[in-house]
Amino acid sequence: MTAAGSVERTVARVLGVSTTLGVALAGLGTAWLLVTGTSPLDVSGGAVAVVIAGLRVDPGAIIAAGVVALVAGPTLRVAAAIPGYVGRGERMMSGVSVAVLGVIALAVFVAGKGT
Amino acid sequence: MIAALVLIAGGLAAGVFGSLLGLGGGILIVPLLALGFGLPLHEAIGVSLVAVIATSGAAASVYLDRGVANLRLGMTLELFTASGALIGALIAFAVPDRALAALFAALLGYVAVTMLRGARAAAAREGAVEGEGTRSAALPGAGPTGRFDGPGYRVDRFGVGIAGSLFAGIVSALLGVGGGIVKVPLMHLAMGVPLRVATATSNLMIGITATSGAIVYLVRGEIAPLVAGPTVLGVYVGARAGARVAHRLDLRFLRILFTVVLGWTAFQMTLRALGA
Repeated sequence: MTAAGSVERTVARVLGVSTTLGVALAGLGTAWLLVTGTSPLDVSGGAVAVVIAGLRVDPGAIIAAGVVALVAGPTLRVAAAIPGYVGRGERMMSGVSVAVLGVIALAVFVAGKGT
Repeated sequence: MIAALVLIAGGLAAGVFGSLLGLGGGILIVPLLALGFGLPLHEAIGVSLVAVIATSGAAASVYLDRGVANLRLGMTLELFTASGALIGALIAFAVPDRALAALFAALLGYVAVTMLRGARAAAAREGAVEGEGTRSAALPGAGPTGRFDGPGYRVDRFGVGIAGSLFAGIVSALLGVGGGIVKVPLMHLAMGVPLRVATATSNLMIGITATSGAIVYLVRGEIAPLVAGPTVLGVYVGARAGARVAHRLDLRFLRILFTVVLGWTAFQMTLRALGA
């Protein structure tokens, strides 16, 4: 075990916050779901559709926002590492981070093309 | 209301079992949703990937903060796991539900057999860990001097790591699991990374791996939020609880029980694959 560097600490913080936020939103929406007695199997569309169509406040929209926060978390932690690597002059790790973001962007593009 | 509570309870059980036995929750969540709730496999896999992101995110942030995970190695390998996951997700949408069920049944069977080897294999692995650590530390020049090396170990066979990472990514997005079942042995046995570091680094990589696959499911409307919410909540709480009590429990009985559950689930998945 070693002491974490500044990049590691930044990445850990971003990941911790996004996970906590995502799970908290999922928990809030689920609690609301239980209070209203809505069945989760009354599926009304995917998470993105719920967010786009909604901007309304209901259990589905809140959970969908939590899902988006969770999925965005790992991507944000990669982005958060870039300034640290650039600052330390680590060209290879800066390039790797940008390439990972490129794969994620490609996933969004490819998924969108298939809908 | 009852369905939501059952989803929370099922997620809780998946999180606890997964955490106690060193597996991600995905291997239990997918059958729970597909067999227990009758969800199409694509939807079950999408929800499972989100749950996997939540549990790995919580653990990885702690591992990073404590300096256990190898961020440079993890980020470099996850370039390939993410690429594999994108390929895996596209394959998942190209093959029928029954083919996915057959693949999942095969995965369950593999994990059940691995579990059966149980305590003896675990003991042997622990011995190997000690050996690896000692060997690496004793290597002249071993240490944090190489590109991906850590204190006391040297990372070998990076090409094997790239190929294995691609495969792990495909498995993850195709079947809705974290892929740690491939990544941990890959880094530990093939690349010479100590088991503790390999587990932590795999956990870190699972986030981006699952994200790459989950985005495809998300954008294509295969992640139902009302199912995802209770499941994610249950898995997250269960995984944290499991991690807290793991060291106090005798896991031998649990392994046997889990093997039986996996075997039965593999049988049910096979029936689904056969359309029975």
